[in-house]
Amino acid sequence: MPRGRLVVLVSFAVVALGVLAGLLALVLDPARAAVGPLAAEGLALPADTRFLAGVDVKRLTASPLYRKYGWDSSRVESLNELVEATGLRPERDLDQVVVAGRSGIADGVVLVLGRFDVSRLGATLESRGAAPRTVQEGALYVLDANGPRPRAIALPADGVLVAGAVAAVETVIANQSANGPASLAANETLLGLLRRVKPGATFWIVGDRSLLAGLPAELPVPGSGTVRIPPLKSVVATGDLEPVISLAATADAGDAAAARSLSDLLQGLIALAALQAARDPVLGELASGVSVTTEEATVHVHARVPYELLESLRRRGPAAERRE
Amino acid sequence: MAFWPAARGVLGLALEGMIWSRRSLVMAVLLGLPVLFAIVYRAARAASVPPQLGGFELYGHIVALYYVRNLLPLAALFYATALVADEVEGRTLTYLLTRPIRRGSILVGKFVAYVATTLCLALPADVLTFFLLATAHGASGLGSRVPDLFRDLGVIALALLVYGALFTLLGVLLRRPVIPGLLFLFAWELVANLPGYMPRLTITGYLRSLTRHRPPEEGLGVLLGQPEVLPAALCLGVLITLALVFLGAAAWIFSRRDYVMEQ
Repeated sequence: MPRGRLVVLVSFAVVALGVLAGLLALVLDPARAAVGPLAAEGLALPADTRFLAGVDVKRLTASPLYRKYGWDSSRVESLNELVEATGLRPERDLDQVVVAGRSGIADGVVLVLGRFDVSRLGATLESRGAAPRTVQEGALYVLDANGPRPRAIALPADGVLVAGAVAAVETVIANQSANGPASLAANETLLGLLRRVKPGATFWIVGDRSLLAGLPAELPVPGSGTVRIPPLKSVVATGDLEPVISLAATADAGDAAAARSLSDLLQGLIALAALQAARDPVLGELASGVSVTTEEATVHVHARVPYELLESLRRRGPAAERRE
Repeated sequence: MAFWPAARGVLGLALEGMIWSRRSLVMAVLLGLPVLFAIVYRAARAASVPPQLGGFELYGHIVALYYVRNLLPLAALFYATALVADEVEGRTLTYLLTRPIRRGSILVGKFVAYVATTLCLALPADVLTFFLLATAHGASGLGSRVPDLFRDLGVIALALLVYGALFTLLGVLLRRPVIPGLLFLFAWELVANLPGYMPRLTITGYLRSLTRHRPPEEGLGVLLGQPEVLPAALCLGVLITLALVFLGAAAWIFSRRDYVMEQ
């Protein structure tokens, strides 16, 4: 065989092997779950969920951010309650945490997947004053049953924990046995958004317009009054914490004009920050790490923050407070 | 002789000469450099040197900046402009033109040899770079990145095809096509960085829209912002049409032009 043809054959054999390996990875990826990054247990979450947020705890605890700053669950009251009540340790016991809410974490449900024994955990909960209640699957414990905001923790199976408002947790337990119309499996909007999340991200969040309901509709701009922020139909965001903090967000603006308007607004803010680089290098670095693109009616935002930059920002916080 | 058998014969002849040439050795080194970067990256990670970019992010930068914006157009320039020019310079064109074969089949055969040569050099390098970098932090999540690999392989092939067709046309039209080719690449194609409708007047604007990698801009690019991402169907349609038009024009001109060998 002529040498030229041999080289062509070998090259295309390498490419074919690569494509085959890629297809195998696509099918066998361990990060692939039932729907996007959401495990099958997550399909039992309530159907009226408006947003979902998930954390891959193994990747989080292996990240430089966690190694440096540790687990500070005290910033999120409901997670703090969960950790205190159960005695679970993230780096030892947990694999994934998913929060499902309607308007915030306070009225949401937390699904925890990990490596813990439910009977031992149930004993821990009872020893801390939780009242057990009989349910169809597994066990349910109510904390602060007579208080203003009773919370429930359910243990439907080994390695699965559901916590939140009592009614919401009971809904999830009922959905476990049959994924009917009350379960997330019937919420095609959110499932569609979940499928757009790439498996393997350290954290992710998907939601419809209610997720951003708290954002102002207008932003003040010096010298030209205010600029209107286009309403968004949905948001999908993923992030990683290694080797730098990176975030990728996709927002559906509804139509191309609104997407361009939002993109122009964001690019204007980035350009303003970049122009400050001579006076404030940190702002310049932040700006150079953010890119905004539009694709028809969607806006894609990519941001990356090196840990050195994060440290600079953290040091500025207390220094600025001291100056004030 | 019929068109396609003649083109196949020219292809076989041209392929041997093209693959085993100094030009291909240089291109193999340049196209294979990302594999070396990937190995160095993995070694640095193994030595606990903290990287500033994730492995897959680095791969995206390599594809978007090194391959699509720089090296692939240059590879097409240096190969495709020489398809006819080398024969003229080596005074071997006469021997080809006196064969009982259509001139168009000569050009098509040589063009296919160019495509095969450049794909042989570029695609394996991209595949190896992908697997080295995308698995730098572990294999979890690799499956979600594989569609980007397939997309990038397609974009690389399309880039070589359309730039190759353009520079083949330049090579057929001009005696010295390299300088105008360089001006096109490093002057006109920069228009793709401008906002608005200007990127639609460039080839690289469509190619950049087809990849999913969007490295952050630096310097003036931060102020200009990222150009709009064009719909994939539009990009494919325009690029394939351009390739066919350029190649068709090149074949038509080549079949009618008289080549005078310098004494």
